[in-house]
Amino acid sequence: MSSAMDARAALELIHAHRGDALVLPTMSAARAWSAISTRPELDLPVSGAMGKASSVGLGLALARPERRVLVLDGDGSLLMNLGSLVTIGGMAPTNLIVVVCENGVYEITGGQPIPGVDRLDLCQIALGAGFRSAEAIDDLARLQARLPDLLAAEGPTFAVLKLRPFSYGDGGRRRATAEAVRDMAAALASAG
Amino acid sequence: MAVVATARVVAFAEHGHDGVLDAGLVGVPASVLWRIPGRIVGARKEGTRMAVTQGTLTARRVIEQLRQRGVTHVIWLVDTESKFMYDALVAEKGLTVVPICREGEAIGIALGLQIGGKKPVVIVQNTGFLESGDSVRGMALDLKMPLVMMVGYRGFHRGQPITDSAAIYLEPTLKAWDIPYHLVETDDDLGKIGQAFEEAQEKQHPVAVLIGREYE
Repeated sequence: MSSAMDARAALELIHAHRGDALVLPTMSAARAWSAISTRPELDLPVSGAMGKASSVGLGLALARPERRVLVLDGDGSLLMNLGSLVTIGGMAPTNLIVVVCENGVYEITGGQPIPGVDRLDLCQIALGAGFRSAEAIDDLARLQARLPDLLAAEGPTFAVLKLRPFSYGDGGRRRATAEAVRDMAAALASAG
Repeated sequence: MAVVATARVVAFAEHGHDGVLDAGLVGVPASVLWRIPGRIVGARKEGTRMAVTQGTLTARRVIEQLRQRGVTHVIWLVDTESKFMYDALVAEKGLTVVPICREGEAIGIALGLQIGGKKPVVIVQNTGFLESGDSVRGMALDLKMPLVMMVGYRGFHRGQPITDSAAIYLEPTLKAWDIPYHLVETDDDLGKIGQAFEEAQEKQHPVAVLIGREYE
């Protein structure tokens, strides 16, 4: 990635703009997010079945149309469940935002390139699948400027963040998914 | 329903089977069984029909079962065993149908719906259920999801030998994962759907309902 953002800095910007959005990070982003987020009751780190964060996000967005649901996916992860973009496009939840942390590698296994790394255009795929909007961002200032609109727009919304790989020091203790499921379900139930 | 299999089931027991016969193997003579150590997993093809199931499974009555159990969303990839319900389900105002591209998506979508306070049911074929294995393992089982999965039992025809590997490996897979299951073939079996929902809730565990016949 010749032009790419610092990964942690990008997530910090998202956190600053999240409001009370439900955030579903997965893989490397989940570790980094756990060190950034101050609202763990509204976070659901998705692990256990790689690639399924977008599907969990769709279910949550359908269940809670009054809440913003933001998925922090990885490019390698999304490739494992690419059909989910079509499923999302078909259901067209206006409150769902899928943000892909794109670094072109399977970071968690040491940085091997993902298939089609130099040719892949996830934004084109998302638009073709029926997302209302899709854009790629590779600059922190641009991300900061675009976040309010991205989070408020009528979705489904798709964005690719061009990132450098996360650093080991970016990560905190990732909460267990089971614990997060319980906490988020309770928080949503009490919210009515 | 008329099942003509008693004598052959006895034959299983005499050949060392534990006496609990997989639904797909009722009526199949012991001589044609496939075995792995300590376990019967299927049957070689043998042309004789040995049992007959009569009656039908009615879409309206299946949907009524789902409504009675408070189901809000039907996550579905249509298959030959469940297609008879399609028109009725899509027309059902109280249920939201979520069409999916591949079955592994279903478990993730169901998880999100459950966290958000909804009650989904998953309808897929056995082929797709097997494809969705990692999601069943990593989410439905590990997260103890009280989820009912209706699984089209492709390759199952009561009283006939099973030759389709999608059917041969279904029940052994469910057993390996400790997922309880119930076979539904006609309206006479509809109570098993309600039973599956009760069981899933009580055990906080996925439960499968196997749709055992194809209907037009």
